[in-house]
Amino acid sequence: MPDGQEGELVLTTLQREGMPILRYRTRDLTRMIKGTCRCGRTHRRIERIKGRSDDMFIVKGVNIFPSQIETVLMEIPEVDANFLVIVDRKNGLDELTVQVEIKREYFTGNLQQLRELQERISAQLKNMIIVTPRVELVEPGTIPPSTGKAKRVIDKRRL
Amino acid sequence: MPIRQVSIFLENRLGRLSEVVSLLAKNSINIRALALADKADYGILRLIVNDTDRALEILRQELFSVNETPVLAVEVDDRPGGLAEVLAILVQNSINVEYMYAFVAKSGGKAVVVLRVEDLEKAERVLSYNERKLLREEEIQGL
Repeated sequence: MPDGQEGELVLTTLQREGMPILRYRTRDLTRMIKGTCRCGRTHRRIERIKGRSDDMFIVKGVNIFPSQIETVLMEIPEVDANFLVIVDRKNGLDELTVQVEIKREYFTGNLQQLRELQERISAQLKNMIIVTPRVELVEPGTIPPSTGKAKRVIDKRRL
Repeated sequence: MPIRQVSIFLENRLGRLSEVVSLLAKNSINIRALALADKADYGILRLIVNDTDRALEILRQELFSVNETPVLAVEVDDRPGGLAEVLAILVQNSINVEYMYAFVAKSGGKAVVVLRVEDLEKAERVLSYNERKLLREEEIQGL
């Protein structure tokens, strides 16, 4: 991979002899960064791990990473960044459902407003991942918090 | 004047509605009127209770997503056409009803409906002008 382009981090030890690692695939997604760090270090660096390559799922032929969904949700003040993706197949068609928690302080009791929020989230997700998902609103605190390797994608398809 | 309705966000999950109602029961809060608006994945439970402040406090403590919404409680003659007359007044004044539901109890032999409209002030004005009785929150507590 050229510098700056995203890919999977692969490790090879250069000095170990007894127990070497050869092109060990970490499944972590990142990119190489050239140039001097703010701290003064001049060596090449890797960017903060963006996600894992085995997190990726394919819906309607489109590759989707959970981190893309997270990025969109973080921009929407009414919902928490915590989410759950459910992929299913009905009548031969993939269906993508994203469950998000609506924040307590944004609930006004107005059904129309909730509907508009769902549509807005769905449209913004579509901009990012090309597929239009069904957005479901759930109560705050019902989706297990993501602690590193939490399962955020449930695939019900039998492929 | 408007009365306060308690609106609760409910996820579509088995037993969730029952949890809310039991919680209110445990705290001796009486439900005067109720309506459930549902979509496939969630719903909004709308309640008129005898002690709105306390109900809001308890539900918030238990981390429910709740809010208060101003609505009108109007007396309606308990006979065929009673409701139609009230709604006709609103239509004549181009007031759109967002939703409505009925009370369990009666007020002086009359039925009571809860109305949520876009323009509360105007609805209040035209209903009063047409000599329709709007109930105050204290009156509902006594029903």
